[in-house]
Amino acid sequence: MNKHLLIDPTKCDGVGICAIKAPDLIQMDVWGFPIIESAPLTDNTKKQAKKALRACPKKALLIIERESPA
Amino acid sequence: MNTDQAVSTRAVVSSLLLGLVFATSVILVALSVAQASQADTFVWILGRSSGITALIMLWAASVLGLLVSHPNSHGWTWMQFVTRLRLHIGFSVFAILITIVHLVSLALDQFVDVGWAGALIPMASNWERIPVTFGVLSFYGMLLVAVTASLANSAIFRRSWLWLHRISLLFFVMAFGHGMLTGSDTDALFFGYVIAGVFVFILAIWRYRKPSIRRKRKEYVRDTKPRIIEESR
Amino acid sequence: MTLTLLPANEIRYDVGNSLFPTGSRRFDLTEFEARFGSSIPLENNADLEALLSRIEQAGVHGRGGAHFPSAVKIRSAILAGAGGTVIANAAEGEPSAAKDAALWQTNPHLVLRGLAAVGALTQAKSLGVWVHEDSYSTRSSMAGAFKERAAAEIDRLPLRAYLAPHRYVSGEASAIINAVQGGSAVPKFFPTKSRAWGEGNAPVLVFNSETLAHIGLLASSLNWAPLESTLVTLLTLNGRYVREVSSDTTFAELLEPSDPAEHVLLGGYGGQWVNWQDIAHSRVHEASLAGQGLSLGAGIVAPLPNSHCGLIETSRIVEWMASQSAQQCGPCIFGLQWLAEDIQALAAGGRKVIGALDRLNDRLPQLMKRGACSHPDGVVRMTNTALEVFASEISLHRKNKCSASSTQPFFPTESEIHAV
Ligand code: HEM
Ligand code: SF4
Ligand code: SF4
Repeated sequence: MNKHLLIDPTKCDGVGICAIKAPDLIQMDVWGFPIIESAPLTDNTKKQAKKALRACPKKALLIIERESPA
Repeated sequence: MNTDQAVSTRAVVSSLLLGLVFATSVILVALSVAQASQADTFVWILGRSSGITALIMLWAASVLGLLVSHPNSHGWTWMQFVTRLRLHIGFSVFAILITIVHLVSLALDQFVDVGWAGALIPMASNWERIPVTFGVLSFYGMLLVAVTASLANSAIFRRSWLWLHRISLLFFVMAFGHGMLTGSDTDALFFGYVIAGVFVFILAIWRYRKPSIRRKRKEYVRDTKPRIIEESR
Repeated sequence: MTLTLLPANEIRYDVGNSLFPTGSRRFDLTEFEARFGSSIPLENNADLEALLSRIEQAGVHGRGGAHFPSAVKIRSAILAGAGGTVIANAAEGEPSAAKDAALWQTNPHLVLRGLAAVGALTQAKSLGVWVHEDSYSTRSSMAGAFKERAAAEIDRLPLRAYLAPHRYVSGEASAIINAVQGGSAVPKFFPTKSRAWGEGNAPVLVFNSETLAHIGLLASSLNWAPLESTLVTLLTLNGRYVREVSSDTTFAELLEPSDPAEHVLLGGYGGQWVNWQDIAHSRVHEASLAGQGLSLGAGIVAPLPNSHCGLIETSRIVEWMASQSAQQCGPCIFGLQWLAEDIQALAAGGRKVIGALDRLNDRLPQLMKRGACSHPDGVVRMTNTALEVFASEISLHRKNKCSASSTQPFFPTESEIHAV
């Protein structure tokens, strides 16, 4: 089981705060919406993921545990 | 901390530094001009220069805010989205900090009768009562906008922050009105005010002409409920 | 298995194969039972377990590219607990698709038998059919079948029709789940796949109509050998044909040689463009196509007539697909809008082609797996293969030339399918 940062794209409004909070995990695309790193979270990126998750005004981010990146 | 993170931290620090350098340089120029003429008007000059600087920062914050939220802005490549947002936040924070400098110096100023009450309470100033009130209100407005934006993820402001944020343009107009009506340099800076104001006005129209994706979504979702018919048993 | 010619936007079905009745009219309940027998008993656990293992052995699986084994899906629903809703998906979003319409308009009882069987297997509390509001022919056939079942008191579970607004993505499984659970008919984000079929107090299980027809065959008392067949909608200049194709048929055998094509759109608007010679000798069979990295997707095979330009057709498809986005996910809303514009630039030709190509190479990967549903992924896949397959056409367009001789659009973008 690995932890992954996921996004519910139907909630995200592209406000972009998450990209500031988690620069190693999140890049903004040319349309202004976050692209989330699909690899499992490491100890280092887990902190960033939590910060981004907390900062998102739309509660669009979530961390789940699952077997493999699908 | 790995290298990527170091880079991004550096970017934050550097954008904040940029604002700081910019602000202090404007104040210093103004001060040196003041020193050259009259040495005993330090506070008065500080009040005016910090006022102008705060206005410029607020202007920059508003412009960048509109550039961040413009519905087409995402495809722009001349400046990264994240950079725009960082600068927006940086400028807005400095706009507030320098406004505090402005406010304190006006409260301490001997030449005009504003005082602490006038600088903090609407309609309490004896000097230029209405224009000063504009300034006071726009300061509280800026504080409100910035605080709610910083707490946008909290349960209390999650729904309201963006609405309050949009009203920030009103505070920008108030601050500009305040600057034009009270400033003794308004004649010299008149065209600057007009050009900067018209610029924001045009930018705002351009940004709000198109509906945001939020509106579009709601319209779509509204008419997509299925009808259910029970046809057997 | 013969081909029947039909006018555009109308459809006739083949004669003499096993899923469809003779002629192109609906089997009523009496005719249906005469041919397929009655439903096998599904009273006790032994009956149910026997049916489930037949489903497993026959290798029944889902459609639309995912190709998930139905037995596994049913088993996990059983684990999730009783009291769910099983839905037969009769909504084909794509205007070129017609196989489910064909099935519902001629043999609705077979699909309903499959639906009832899955309902029994999963101890569901209700059954439903999900159909587009404006699919009038399908709806009237379905309503007839519902009445006959009610008169014969066949169903023990309540059976409902869900009339969905006609949009491409309203037939998407998560949209159906969302709506059946009381929300809107727009796709919903589910963080894990299994949650999409059964979690919480109202699990919803969505099955493709064709899959249910196969389960219906296995649940019939007259001994039908498990079918290894696929329903295919063949799109031609003369109209659409729905054919039931056995798994050893090759594409060369499926298509008439009279209308030579160099390129084929496989799987529909979210499918793949392929060169004809790459698939001519492949079998029309999902599992063996998977070895070539191909899929039948929505069961559509569309050989592009040589009189038509693949770029112009791709551009029309992308534009239509962009208009069908459920407007929920930023990357889908803005990404598809942009994609439609740049593909349009390729189709229009001239100086803008190079810039558009550069942007496409740069941005297409950014659009993959970015929506709540796979709608944008399908468009990206189709566009990617179009860029490969039509590379020489792109160079022609750059020089303001085009190989097309016809200006008539080939792929339909509006449809209501009538049985005749
Ligand atoms: C004096 C303070 C501030 C002013 C005057 C200001 C002004 C603005 C304006 C005019 C906009 C455009 C709003 C729209 O049209 O949607 C905007 C957008 C934005 N601002 Fe500020 N802002 C301030 C402080 C802040 C702070 C402190 C933050 C973050 C912590 C922030 C974050 C944002 C964000 C994320 C957007 C984009 C909203 C969207 O996506 O629509 N702002 N700002
Ligand atoms: S902070 Fe939340 S709403 Fe904003 S871009 Fe990131 S995920 Fe989307
Ligand atoms: S990906 Fe597109 S079609 Fe799918 S839910 Fe999101 S916006 Fe709707």
